[in-house]
Amino acid sequence: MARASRTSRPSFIQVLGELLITIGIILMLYVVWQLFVNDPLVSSTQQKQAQQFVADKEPSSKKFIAIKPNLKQGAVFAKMHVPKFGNDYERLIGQGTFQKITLNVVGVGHYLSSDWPGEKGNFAVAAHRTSHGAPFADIDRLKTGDKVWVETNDSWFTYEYRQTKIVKPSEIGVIDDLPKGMNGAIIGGKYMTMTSCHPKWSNEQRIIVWLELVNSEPKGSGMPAELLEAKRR
Amino acid sequence: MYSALFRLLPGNFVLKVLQVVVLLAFVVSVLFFIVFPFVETLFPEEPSVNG
Repeated sequence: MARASRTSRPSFIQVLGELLITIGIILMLYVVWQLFVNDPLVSSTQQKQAQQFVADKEPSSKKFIAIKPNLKQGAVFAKMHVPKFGNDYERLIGQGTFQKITLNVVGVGHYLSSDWPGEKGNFAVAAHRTSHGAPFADIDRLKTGDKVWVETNDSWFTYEYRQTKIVKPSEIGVIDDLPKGMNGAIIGGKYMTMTSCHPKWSNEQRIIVWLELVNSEPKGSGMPAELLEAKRR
Repeated sequence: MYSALFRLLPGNFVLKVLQVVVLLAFVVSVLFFIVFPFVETLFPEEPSVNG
């Protein structure tokens, strides 16, 4: 049989079958690309972009957009440092949580309805857990004692870990000024909420990490000493 | 289809296999660096924050 088909022209069914198999392989390759090729590429681009924004106001450094109401979507107004995610981990924070404008490009997105860093209420951000650089891939590793530093045009804000919660995507109260479900939250408290998908590779649930402001200082004297030390560890 | 293509390639079996490897690498890189990045821009914005 193999010998007969070797000399004859391929039949229609044979060509169709091979085409369908090819299409299947291409679709699987897309997934491979998104998770294993594009993801690391975007991740290193995001890291490099973040590092161009330097803490001290050096002439070469890019500047954060000053915080004001009605900031344009995608505008980069801050940067977050999370030593727990890697010694040199830095990601830019852009306004809004549209994927094509902020999440897929800048990295971390600020919920439009939430407050600004350092303010009373809740500074809430979102980022991908997997794909597109996955800035919050290790969000589940944040534990008691961990700190996150948020750097804006003129200030440094230090937030300390408080609580992790897994919720349904519809439970949007978690980014309220008084975060719904956060133990010991009080009106007038200064909170930060990090949100991402859960579990990894899935869109079923959301993982929420709440933090509380423990320090804020004006810029000028360089990186906070504690952050410098954490980065060297 | 693919068996016909394989027969069309010049040279002995080893050379043919080498050509297949090079062709596959070419096709995959076109997909990875040109086609897929473009395809992604065509996807609609999802209504909620995903992934």
